[in-house]
Amino acid sequence: MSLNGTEIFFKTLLDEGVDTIFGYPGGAVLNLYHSMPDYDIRHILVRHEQAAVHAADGYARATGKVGVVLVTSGPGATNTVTGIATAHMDSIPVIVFSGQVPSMLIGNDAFQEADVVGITRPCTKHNYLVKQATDLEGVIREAFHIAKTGRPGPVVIDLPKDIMTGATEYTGKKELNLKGYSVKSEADINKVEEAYEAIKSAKRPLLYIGGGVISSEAAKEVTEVAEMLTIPVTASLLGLGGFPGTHPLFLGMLGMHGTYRANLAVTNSDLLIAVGSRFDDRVTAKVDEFAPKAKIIHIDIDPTSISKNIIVDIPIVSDVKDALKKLLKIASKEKRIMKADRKEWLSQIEKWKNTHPLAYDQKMEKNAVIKPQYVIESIYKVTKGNAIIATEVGQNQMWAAQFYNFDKPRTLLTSGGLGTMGYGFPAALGAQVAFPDKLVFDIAGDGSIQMNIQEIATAVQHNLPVKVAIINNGFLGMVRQWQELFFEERYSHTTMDFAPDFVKLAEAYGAVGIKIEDPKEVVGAIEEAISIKKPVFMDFRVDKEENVYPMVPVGSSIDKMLLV
Amino acid sequence: MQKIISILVEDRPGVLMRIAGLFFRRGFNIEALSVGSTEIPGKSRFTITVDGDEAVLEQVRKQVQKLLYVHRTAEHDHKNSQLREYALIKVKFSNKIKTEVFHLVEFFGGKVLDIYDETAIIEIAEEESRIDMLFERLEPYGIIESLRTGKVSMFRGTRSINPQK
Repeated sequence: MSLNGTEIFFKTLLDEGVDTIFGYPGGAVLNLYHSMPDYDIRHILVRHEQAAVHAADGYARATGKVGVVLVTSGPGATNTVTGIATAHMDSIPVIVFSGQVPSMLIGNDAFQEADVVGITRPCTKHNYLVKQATDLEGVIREAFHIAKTGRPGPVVIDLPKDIMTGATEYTGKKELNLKGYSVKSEADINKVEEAYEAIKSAKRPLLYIGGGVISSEAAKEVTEVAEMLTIPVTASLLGLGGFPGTHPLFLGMLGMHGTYRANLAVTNSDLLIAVGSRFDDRVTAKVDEFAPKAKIIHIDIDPTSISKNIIVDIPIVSDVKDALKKLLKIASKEKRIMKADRKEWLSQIEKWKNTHPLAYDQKMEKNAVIKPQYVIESIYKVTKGNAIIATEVGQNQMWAAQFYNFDKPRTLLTSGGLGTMGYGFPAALGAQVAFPDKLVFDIAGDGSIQMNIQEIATAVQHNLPVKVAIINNGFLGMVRQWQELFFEERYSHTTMDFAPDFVKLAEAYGAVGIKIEDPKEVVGAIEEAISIKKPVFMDFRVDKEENVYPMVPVGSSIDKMLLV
Repeated sequence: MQKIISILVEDRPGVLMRIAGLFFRRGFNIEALSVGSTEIPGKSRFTITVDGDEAVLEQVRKQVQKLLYVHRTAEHDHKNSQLREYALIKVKFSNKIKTEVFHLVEFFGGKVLDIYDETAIIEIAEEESRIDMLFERLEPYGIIESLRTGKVSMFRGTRSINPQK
């Protein structure tokens, strides 16, 4: 049966299980948009292409499925770059289809032409320019395979306009021709045994989990390993939710704004078991003094992550879940109870916990100011930890990581690697599209929210009742914190003293706005926002110069923290 | 430290850009690069000579290995491989110096390819150091232009970059 490129496009997407596209139309993709209503696919019209990618990314993080984006050529495509780079740094499976000028005109500086394959090459897992309609089906199938297997990541497919009208056969064939692409997902059993021996003889072992635990769906296995072998657990920002945040063995996040006990545990451990994490510089701080006493086991599916920043003693290149399953098998055969061996270590950690816990001082009397941490903790209490939380980037993000106990995977959506302000709101919308009945929050700053604030129109149009908690301190808070601590308190261009009235702004778009200034009203406002079945902007006016602590200054080792 | 890396790739447009991009990103200057077809239809082979920090180079090699159209990467050295380079050198020429130039070129294993308009083009396929020496010896005659392909290399014995062999 001969079909045109447009028909092939939708048939293949449906066959790959796609039911939602985040996009924005334009000249080069008019054929696709013209035919879209004929197919059973939901299209979420965003207000800026960057937000389309963040929304697809949020959708992917919340569901584990591949997020799909469709944009036009030129500016439509270049607007997606920040979203693509965000997904790339955090290994999130997203496919971006960008329109392109007709093949004949490529390289001609045609209207709305950009070299999208060239521009996105360094920030994609792979990208394609489709040269003929015959290639389209195979390219789309390859792209889905590449995006979701191995270390996941974004794939861009550039579609010249003439491909959409070119006639060709639809094969329905699932075999791929990807000889150069191999994923080693099975763990080498000898290495796992070696790891188990190291765990057995360790006195002060520590699990350090990352986003790989989430993408490998291995949260259950991590918990089993930690419990069976009595190993405390710390997590990178992207690892949060990969192990229950309320579990007695959980130490909180590690790194620059990690907890005192987590960072001290790293420095004092004799065996660090890194699982699906990549020793980012925000985690390690000064590399030479990171886990100086520890032997290092590293389980990761990406061979280029091994010994990149930290030299690894026992590398296991495989799917995280497979390695942990094999480890559990060996451990359960041996039936060795390690509780007694770990007693001293755990009581040491308990002492650290009590010396410098995460803390803030919320006063409730008249004229008291709201502490930002109190807002997050209140959201946690009111939602009982059952919400999906997206964050923006900066102080709001770090407080969310510290004060919302993420018990389940895929409940935190945050831009870790790239640190993209403006990520949270569209990501929250993407998650809400996937789960219409779940409670979805975006914890934002007054700076970040303005970076994709136009998406409030998307939220209202598509009835996505996301709750945006703006931690409004009138500053670009994290940058101001650095200026206070390291740049002589010179607050150069970090004051956001010209901000819109967020309540009126929400109302102008047909959403709801609430302004909260009194600490006593915080909980009530959150409850009210949840009861409203519309998008809500909560404008929390908080303490202007509150800092995020602990903080490891750049150049220090992670046990040298600035504390409250 | 200088490294010689062979890369077996699918012969597709853009492969060179993807590979070069990874070296560029870490600040490596590619000293020499040669690309050509192999005995396998649809597959090409790159030989890249690059100098830099060994650990970072190993990281880049692993990243190259991860590219979709890259099948294999391998590292060569003087012990495990034959390393060769090809050069063309154009020098000023006259009948007066004919004998000595011919002798010199023959001694280093090269060949006079062409004599035209008081110039001679000399070709040589040899080890890097022997080509260096020939350059040195030809310098006094006046080199008009020259080029070198950079190293190409092949493992000694049964070892091959092609996993099927």
